[in-house]
This record gives sequence, structure tokens and C-alpha cells, in this order.
Amino acid sequence: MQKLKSQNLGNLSESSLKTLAQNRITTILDFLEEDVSKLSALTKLSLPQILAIRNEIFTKYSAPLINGTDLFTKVFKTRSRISTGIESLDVVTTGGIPVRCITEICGLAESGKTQLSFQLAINCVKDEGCTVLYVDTKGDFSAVRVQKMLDTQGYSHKDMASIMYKIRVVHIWTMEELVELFKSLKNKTLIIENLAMIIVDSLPCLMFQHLGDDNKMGLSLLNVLVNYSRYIANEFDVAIIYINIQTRWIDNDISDIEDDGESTSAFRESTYIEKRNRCLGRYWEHIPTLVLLLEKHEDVYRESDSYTQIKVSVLSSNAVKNENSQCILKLSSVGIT
Amino acid sequence: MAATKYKVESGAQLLARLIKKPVIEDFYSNLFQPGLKNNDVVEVLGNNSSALLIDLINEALAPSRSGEEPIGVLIFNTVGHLDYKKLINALKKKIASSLNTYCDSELDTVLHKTLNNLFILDIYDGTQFYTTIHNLDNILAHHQNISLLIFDTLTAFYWSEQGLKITKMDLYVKNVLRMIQKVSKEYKVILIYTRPGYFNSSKDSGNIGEVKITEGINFKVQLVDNISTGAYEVNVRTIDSYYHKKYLSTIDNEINWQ
Repeated sequence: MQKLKSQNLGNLSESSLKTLAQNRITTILDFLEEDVSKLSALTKLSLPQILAIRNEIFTKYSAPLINGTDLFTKVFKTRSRISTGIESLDVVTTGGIPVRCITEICGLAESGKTQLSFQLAINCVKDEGCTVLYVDTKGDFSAVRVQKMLDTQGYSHKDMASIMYKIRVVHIWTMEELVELFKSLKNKTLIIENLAMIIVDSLPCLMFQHLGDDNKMGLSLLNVLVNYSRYIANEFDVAIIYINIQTRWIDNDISDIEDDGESTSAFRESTYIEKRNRCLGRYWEHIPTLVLLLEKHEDVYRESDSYTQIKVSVLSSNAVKNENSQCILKLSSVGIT
Repeated sequence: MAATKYKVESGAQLLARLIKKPVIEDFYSNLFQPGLKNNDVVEVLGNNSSALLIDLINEALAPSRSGEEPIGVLIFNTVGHLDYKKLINALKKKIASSLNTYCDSELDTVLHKTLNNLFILDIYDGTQFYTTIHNLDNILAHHQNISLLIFDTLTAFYWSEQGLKITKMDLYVKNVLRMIQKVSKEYKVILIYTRPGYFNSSKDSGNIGEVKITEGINFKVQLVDNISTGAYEVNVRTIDSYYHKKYLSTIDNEINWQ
């Protein structure tokens, strides 16, 4: 919560702030909740002056009211999806990665998450001419791989350079740094021209540093990050993609056999079941609007070309429910097609 | 001093009282028995509540029963799951089906007129959230037609506010609700808020069949979804009853009550 004293509110002098603080009114919420005449008595300001300060707070911090008609213009006059540049993926996602939303790509290790991120970045730049911010938290962004993908697709050196120039890579090692980065984007202290997509590869990498914290610092930072992400996505018409990982383990599951009155628990059959789980916990689980689950499907070796098949499933989506929510992508030296 | 206090404090309240609010009775009786009326509070517990919210909002903006007055809607959007495009498209479809003559320009005129009754607040952080709640009386006084207030969700900023001491989730909901009602009560609005499925202080409170209704809440609605079939089961608890409903969410995101 914002503190009162950092706000430079019109009539509030240093001494008034001090008196307020002594009466435990330190944040703007405390101020808003306090009785107006008590505030007036404490600060020795007149009631209209107090009300003026209240209004100043409202103008500064209250959310602007959007009317349905303006909403109509915003929603239908700007694009709502960025094509992935991969036809089958566009079909299952009803048009691509949603703008103004948070998307998650998750999968087990080696399922092709980073490769897909490279491809999405490349396609967004070459098809739309926009800039992509690539946040690398693992230190494995491979410019060589990106260049190779472009090279195999037959781009000239000049085109390659201009595409690669528009993929801005930032290395981030902690949640705090990531939050700072997003904060500066929100406050426009960092301006990236023509920004259309932000890819964070990967988020668990940073969140795992806070695993087991008793004070839930990690969750607190994650919440702040989500808040900034929503602002940037919604106000600047940006698509934000977070890479998440899946974990799997074998669990001993006791299957429930119908109780026929005779059987005891000793007869219950125990089975081993492989369980999979998206990381980052229950708070994060429902944050992304679109979740794409990647699975390594099959390796195909042929003399002419060998490639890996990747199965993509749409796990949750705000878009119109599509019966056909899976597709197979092809990962080869050209990239993902 | 006491007299001054009374005058100042009651300014907004007096205004609220003077505003002639339409009497709402039996709103959305597909789900609520009896239907919602002014000052009712509804908690929607569960994930994927968007389809239900969209249907509710559109029913308020463009009532199905003829002769019913539309209700103005104000949405606090704190998680961004409500898809505005889907909302407007569903509304358009609903209006189109109610118009006798189908003509694009007429449809557009009615749609825009209907949308004038819809207000959105995109909220991005806790400070903005609370400041806007305190600013509610200004908003409600200016836009007197608003009678349905929706918070999707109430709990979006919970984790960003937790420091060394962690507030219990149930208590947090209660406190935010109290803050909202302090400002909105005079305006006789219906208040609907969503709460994620996991957001409970104890595991048991997730099962509303066994839990008594919290004070001040008229309906607790629990959504149990089955994404693969599009069928939703709804458990509703009121102060003196407990019942189940079912609906199907279609491909066009319409709701069919069963």
C-alpha cells in the first residue's frame, strides 16, 4: 500500500503527516478510511481541504471508468491475437497467442518449450515486423540456434540481422530483477518501440529460489509480477508468454473398490500411477488465460530429413471452446513448423 | 462538532438516498431461488466462472423477459479472465435474437445503447483496488443506473499484501467485503464476487454443502466444472436452503440451464 508521505499531496505539510503518523494513519488507505472530521482536527485543515486531498488521491490512484461503448472500440478495433506463424497451432489456439493476456507454455524437460519460444519470437518479428522482448532466466538463449533457424529458411544476412535485432534479449537471475524490469516497462522508464510480445523463459527457474520460504515471499513477488504483466499486456496491447515446467512422479494410488461388505482394506489393490503437475502452485494455476502443454511425441529419422514430433494440447483457454484442441508440430533444423 | 460530523458524513449518503433506484426483484431466477433483489450479496466459488458471469451480465443488460428494465452493470476486473470480446459477442447474439427485424444498423444501434449501461474498471494493483473501492460512491452517484456490481475476483491482490504476518484467507474476504459494503450499501446494488476454488482457510470450507452460510452473504454458489463435456454442476447454499443446478456451456459460450 502506498505511503502517504511519498505522495506530495497538496495541502499536507510535514508536520501534519507527522501527526497523522502518530495516529497510525500512514498509508493512503488509512487516510481514506478515517473519519473526515477527525482528519480535519488532526491536520488543522478545513473540511473542504481534506475532501480536496481525498479527491486528489482518487484522481491519482482510482482506476479510470471505461464505458461499454469505449470497450467495444478497444476490443474490436485492435487485434486480439498474434499469429504464431505455424498454421496448425493457429487453428487450435483460434488465431494465435492472445494479446492483452498471459499465456503459459508448459511441458516436461526436453519437450521443446525453448525451441517453440525461439520460433514464436522469430515468427512474430518476421511476419508482423514487431519487437519481441525475450527474458532469459536460464542463460541459454542461443543466438546461434536462432541464426541457424533463419539461415535454413533461406534468409539473407541482412534480413537475419534485422530480425535478430528486433528480438531483444534480457538476462534476469532473480524474481526481484524481473519485477523491476516489468515495473520499468509499466512506468515507461524503459521503452521498447513497437513491442508486441514478451517471452519469459522460464519462470519456475526464478520461483524455485523461493521454494520453502516460510514467509511466502515468492508468492508475494509472483503476485506483483502478475499485476505488472496484466498492466503491460492490457494497456500496451502486448502478448505475454511465460514458460512453465511440468514435473512427473510415480504415485502409489489405492484404488477404491466398491465396498461389498466383505472386503477389507487388505484386499484393496494398490496401483502405481504416473502423475504430472504444472509447477508454480495453485495461485498461478488459473492466472494464464491460455495454457499450451507440450509433449515430445515421436522422433522420426529419415535419410532426407529427421525431425521430432511435438504434441501440443490446449489445456485451458478463454477462447471459444474448440473441439480440436490438439496438434502435432514438427521440430527440425529449420525450426518448428 | 457532532452536528458537523453528521452533516459531512451524510452528504454522500443523503445523495444515495435521494437517487431513485429501480426496484430489482427476481433477477436471474434460473439459478437463484428466489431471484436476486437489491442489496443481495452472492459469492461464486470455483474456477472458470467466466461463462456464468457473461450470462449474468448480459441478462442484466438485455433482459430476456419482455417489459423488464435493463440493469446497469459495473465490473471490477482484477484478474483479466473475463473475455470482453466474448461478452460483447454473446450480447450481440442475444440482442439479435430478440429483435424482430434483422438489420445490421438497427442491431448496432441497440447494441451501443445497451453497452452504455456497462462500465468496466481494470484494476492492476492493491492500492488501485482499495482507492477505487473508496471512490465507488462517486461512481455510483454519477451513474445512477448501476445496480449490479461484479468483482472478478475479490482476492487477486491477496498475496502481494502478505508480509511477515499472513492474514487468513476467509478473514481477508470478509474484510474486503466489509470495505465494499461500507461504501456501496446505500446504493442498493446487487453485489456478486468470485473467489478462486483454492481460496479457503481450511480444506472443509471448500465444500459448501457442509458449511453454514457466512453472515451477510445471501447466496454461495459453488461451481464444479467438467471442461471436457462443457457441463457444470452448481451447488447453491442460501441461509435456509441447499440445492443443485446444472448448466451446459455451449461452443458459443451460451448457457443452457437444465
